[in-house]
Amino acid sequence: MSRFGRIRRRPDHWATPHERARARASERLDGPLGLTEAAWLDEHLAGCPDCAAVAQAYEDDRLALRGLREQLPEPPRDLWARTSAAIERESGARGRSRSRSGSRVPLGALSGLAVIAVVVGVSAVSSGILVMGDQRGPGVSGEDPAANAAGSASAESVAQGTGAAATPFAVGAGDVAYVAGRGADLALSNIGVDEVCYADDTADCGTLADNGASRLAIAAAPKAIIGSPTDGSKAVVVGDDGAGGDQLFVVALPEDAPASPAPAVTPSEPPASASVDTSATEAPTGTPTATPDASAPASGAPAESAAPDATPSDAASSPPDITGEPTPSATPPTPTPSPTTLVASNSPTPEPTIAASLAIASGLEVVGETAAFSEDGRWFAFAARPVDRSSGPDIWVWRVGDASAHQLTNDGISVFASWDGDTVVGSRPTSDDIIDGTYEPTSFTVDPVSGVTRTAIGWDVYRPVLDPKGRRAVVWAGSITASDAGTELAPGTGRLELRTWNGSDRQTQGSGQGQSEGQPIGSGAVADFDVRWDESGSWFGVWVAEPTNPAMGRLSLYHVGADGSLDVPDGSPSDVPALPGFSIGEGRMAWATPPGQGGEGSRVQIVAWTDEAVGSVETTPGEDVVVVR
Amino acid sequence: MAIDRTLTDLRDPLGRSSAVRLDRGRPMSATWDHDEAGAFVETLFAKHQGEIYAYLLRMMRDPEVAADMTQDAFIKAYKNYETLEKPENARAWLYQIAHRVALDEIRRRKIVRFLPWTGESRGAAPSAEHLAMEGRLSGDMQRALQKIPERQRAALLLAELHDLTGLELAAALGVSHVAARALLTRARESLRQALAIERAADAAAEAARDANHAMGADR
Repeated sequence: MSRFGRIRRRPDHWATPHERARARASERLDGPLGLTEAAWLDEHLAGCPDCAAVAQAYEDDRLALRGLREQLPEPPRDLWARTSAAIERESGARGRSRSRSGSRVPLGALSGLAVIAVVVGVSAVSSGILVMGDQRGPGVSGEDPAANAAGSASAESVAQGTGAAATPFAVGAGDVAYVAGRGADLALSNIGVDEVCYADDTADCGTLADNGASRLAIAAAPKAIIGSPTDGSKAVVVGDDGAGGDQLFVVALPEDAPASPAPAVTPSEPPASASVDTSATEAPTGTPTATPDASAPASGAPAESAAPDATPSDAASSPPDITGEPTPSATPPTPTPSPTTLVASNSPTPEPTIAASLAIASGLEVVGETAAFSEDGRWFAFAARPVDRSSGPDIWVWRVGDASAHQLTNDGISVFASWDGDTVVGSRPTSDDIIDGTYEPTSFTVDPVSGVTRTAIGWDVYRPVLDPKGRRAVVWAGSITASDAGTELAPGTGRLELRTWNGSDRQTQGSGQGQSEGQPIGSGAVADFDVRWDESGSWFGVWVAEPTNPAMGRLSLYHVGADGSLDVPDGSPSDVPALPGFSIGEGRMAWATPPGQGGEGSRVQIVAWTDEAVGSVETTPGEDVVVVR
Repeated sequence: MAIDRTLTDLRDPLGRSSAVRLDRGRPMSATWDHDEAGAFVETLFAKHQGEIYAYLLRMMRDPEVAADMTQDAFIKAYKNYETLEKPENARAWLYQIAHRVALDEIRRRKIVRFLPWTGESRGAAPSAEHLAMEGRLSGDMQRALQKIPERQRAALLLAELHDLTGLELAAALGVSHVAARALLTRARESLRQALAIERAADAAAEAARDANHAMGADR
């Protein structure tokens, strides 16, 4: 091959004249060929029936395709409403991102700090950028949920170029907030998670960078932060009370954290007393906030008979196998605010400070990972036992706005399972006299206002965790074991199951119903578990403690189809190592990996899903990472 | 890295220097006008939503998915408004965004092999009537189109059904003019071969049916 020839052949490297002819036949359809090529092609086609047939086929196919040009399928009518709503959300997110742009700190900078994350929902911000003038109408905001469900809300870089990513896919807009800190120097930061990568592609997704931080002026290292589902500014922090027990206190989170130049590097703060931001001191009992049928008597009555005028006297006449007496006092015996452990901010640094505003309980040992707000955000419940273990666990509730939490059960063997609307669902052994051994469990509901307890649930299951729609529950189907003089309850022999839920009232009637419908979740011994549903009731995470080390566990994500079938979509975490405490909601689940994996610290991992895909993204390693709901 | 690529590509749909963008006085991240972008995208939407939806539907064959992706494309258009250099390039620019959305989605579907979610499947194959009603390609042509590589499919659809030519096609495909032409050539050949296979399969099925019929008649 001559040098000349090689050069000539480069642009159009025809192995055969037929190949050349077919290429030219195609190109001819897009525009006139040069005179030489046109002549050559005509000549070739005249003498080559195969190529002529191919050229003819190209033209035929082209005509067939072009015949459909005018037949435009009709887009859905609500497409603009969906799109403009999503754009509006996007513009809101942009505004927020920009306001924090001066304070972006990569999570890697927090290496070595305790990191706690809490998913904070970011509500759509209406900035009115799109003004609808035509018949498609202004009803965009109403379309938000649908647009979100479509999973196509946003598609930009996780951190606007700082975390470059290879074709990540968009997930619903929202931030993951976390608290990071060393000792008393804590900062709340946000990381935007609007794109994630496929399971096999996470390396390309880079790591997350936060986009803002606020100082969190609390003295105790937080063990958990539980954000309110309805009030993005409110969270309950579980922390060490400095006396061997736990303390629960409320903090006000900034809803839109403004820029702060340097989180977690502020000068020391002088101790000061907590500022209590609520003046509500009335006793919770008898207030009209409870739903009527939650406080109805339990004597096997179906839902329809639930008396709206239930009174505490009903409580006395109801089967008192659990509660004994409700604790109506706003000044419960054990929990007392511990102002000395709280630190108000009078730091001269410019960044906003989040101070603990209210201690709702202390001197307790919080049991398990079940602490949760009710769906309407008005109540918070948890299980706790005395620090000295003079008794086993009881259920505690705090009504948002009250001065303190109060003890709802006092049998010393009840644990909080989940919320059924604004009714507490709890579990305990069937026997009242608990010594170490194996027991059958039973579950019940308690009205948080009146303390009326009912063994309303026909299943002998332990800790049913209801989805927010009240359609299904994840339950421990099996025995429970008591240890440590009956103060420690744990799942015994059995399995986790997904069951349909017919409502706590109806369940009293058809106790057998649903028993056989349980779909097993995982298998093997379970030392402890934590189940959390997303707000749609279609996804839930199951964390199962390691039998040998309950401070470690494995987390899985499940999806429930419309027909109730259980599946694990590709890309979902399944039995991945995770520390206790995870958050789920708004199309994402966040958790912390145990430290030491790959010789590194912990990471906050976030898995997010749309209707059709599951992907994940993670932070750079830090130490002692704990992710909280 | 991919983000960078995306932005670079979107910055100048017609392949010219992206430096011009900086002269517009609208730096990327900070000061572009939301109202302006919103109004512009609304206009774009009114004008082009039909063809963008049609393109995505033809690429994906699922109305729901196509609708989601159309939405996605216009959101991206909004977010990348500042990358549009000249308003007269808006259509090709929009197709480029839609094309990228489609390729990303296709890639995702290849990587994330998704379990069918009973009762919530959004990818159910539409009926023949539905196809006809929607004015989509049907029969062997549709099957053949689905069998050729997606970039080739995109090139064919954009050129033949959406009437993008020359530089517009190249911009929408995110490749050079020469590469776009070569892609189209390969696409035509792929389609021809795929169609031949589909037609042969059809003929074989027809023959089998006839044979069955004949056997049934014999009895």
